[in-house]
Amino acid sequence: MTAVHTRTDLVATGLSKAFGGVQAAQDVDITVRAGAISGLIGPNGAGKSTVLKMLSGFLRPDRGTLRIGEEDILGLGAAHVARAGVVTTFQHATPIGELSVLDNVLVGMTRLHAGGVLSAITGLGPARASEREQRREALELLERFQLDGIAHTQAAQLSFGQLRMLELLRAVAARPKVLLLDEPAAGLNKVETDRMAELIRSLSQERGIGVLLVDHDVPFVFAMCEEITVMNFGRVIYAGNAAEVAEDAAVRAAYLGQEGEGA
Amino acid sequence: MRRLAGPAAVAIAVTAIWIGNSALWTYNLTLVGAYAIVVIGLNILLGYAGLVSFAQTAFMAVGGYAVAILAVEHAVNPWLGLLLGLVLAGVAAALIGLVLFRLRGHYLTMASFALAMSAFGYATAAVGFTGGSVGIAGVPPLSIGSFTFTDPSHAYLLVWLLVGLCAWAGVRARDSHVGRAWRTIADNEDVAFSLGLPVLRYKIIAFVIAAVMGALGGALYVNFTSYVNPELYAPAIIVNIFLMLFLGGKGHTLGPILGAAIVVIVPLQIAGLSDIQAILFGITLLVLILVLPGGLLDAASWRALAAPVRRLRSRERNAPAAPVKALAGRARR
Repeated sequence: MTAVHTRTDLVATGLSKAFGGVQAAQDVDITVRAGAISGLIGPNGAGKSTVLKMLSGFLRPDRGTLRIGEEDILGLGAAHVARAGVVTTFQHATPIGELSVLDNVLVGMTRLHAGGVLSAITGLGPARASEREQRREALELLERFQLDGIAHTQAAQLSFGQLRMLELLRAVAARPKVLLLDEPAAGLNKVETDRMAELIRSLSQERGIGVLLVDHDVPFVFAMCEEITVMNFGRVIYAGNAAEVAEDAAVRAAYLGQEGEGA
Repeated sequence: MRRLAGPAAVAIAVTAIWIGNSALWTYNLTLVGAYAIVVIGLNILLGYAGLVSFAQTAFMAVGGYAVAILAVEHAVNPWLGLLLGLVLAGVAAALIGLVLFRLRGHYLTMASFALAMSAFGYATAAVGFTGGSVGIAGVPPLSIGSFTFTDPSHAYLLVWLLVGLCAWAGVRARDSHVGRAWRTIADNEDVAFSLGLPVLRYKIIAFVIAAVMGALGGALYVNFTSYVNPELYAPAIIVNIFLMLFLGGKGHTLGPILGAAIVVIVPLQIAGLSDIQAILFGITLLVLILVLPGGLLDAASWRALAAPVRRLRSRERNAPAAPVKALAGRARR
């Protein structure tokens, strides 16, 4: 790993985590490059979720290093990691049902809001202007992905596919440098999956966001990513070009061979 | 609809005083207003931020005793005493919040209950400072120049003006970025973390607002009754305050006001009647909470309540059609 990293690459080396006697992840190296889409795949129980939680700050690694650009974010906790620019979405879509779609996107921008609670209540000070600016920005984001028609709909009324897109847009609203997406296409139909794929691609290209897809859906990941990391039994068994991963004997044995059982 | 909440509160209040134009009625409604302010604070904490805290009576005590001790023992102007009480409650809440919100869920609730019990215990035990269980009498009323709020209708207007102000502040906070953060924290704290929200800070903000409103309601109550003693902050009062919120409807702007009105007024109206009446009132409250878990102002709870009736009606309407359909299905098989 001697490649030159840009300022916003997420680089993890030697991440390890044990739960009791079970080594859930061992010496995992993973890099998410700015503006590129990478994939992390592996069979159930391979340790993908453990790695994702360590990258996002929800789980403290036993060993290893974790940096975004020059900033050391190891063991900082999820909120700090998010503020450093690494934002995670969840496997189960989590928009707030009682809030509107627009408000849900605005939740993603909360930490960028100027002004405290007194300013917000009285309408004096910076909160008012900041609120107007954020509303404009959130509507633009929704427009860009053709969701502005439902901006004022309660999130509880959305379809599953719309919820997943909203989940992603809320994360994007936080202006991440790196997005960690936990099974973004899980449960989506063909049309929705294509739309999600297009959404992720354009976000990565237009905003230079580095994306890590953590997913079971092998064809989805293959179609999206240049670089893929494959895990099994807590270790990385392959890291490299997506086009060649299918040729790798270890990967075929560990993962692709189990496809029939898994599905 | 939501924007009409403030004007509606004022309209209800004015109508109420017009209907029952008597000194006693006005006095009772003034007490309702004082409690409503306390419950509006709890609504922000529990209804918006999802934090179940029993500490509201502790902050009422801070407000009540601040105004009583300062005005009676040190001849401080009641307004200044009230203001100092609010500041004291706010600062105390911020400091306590730093420690308290290391706990979550039931642990947080239990610790907050300990806080309320400590305040009650201290007020009873510290005879030299608080007057012990006897309390402090002769708290002077609030006044502006020669215009004192001893007249019940003046006090009434002042309190309900402040109720409107607190309700308005609550709505404004709810609809701001802070309110959105509260909803997120209440719904799923991990989401709040994942988006980099300073979760502890937003919890403390809610706690401080609730505490200041608690102290305001507590201080106003003492000003108007001119008397403070520990029983005003007893465990039973905590239950009443929660009852007010859940009965009216937590998360609803007017919920605290309606809840406070019912819980304060109804027992007074039936006080002279037999014990059976009090028991019936208790049972009625229990049934209301059971069948309308979202409170009296919660439309979703009413819909859920009406659902079986609607189902029954639609079944009657479809009754002739249903067997035919079933037969058709069987024939095809």
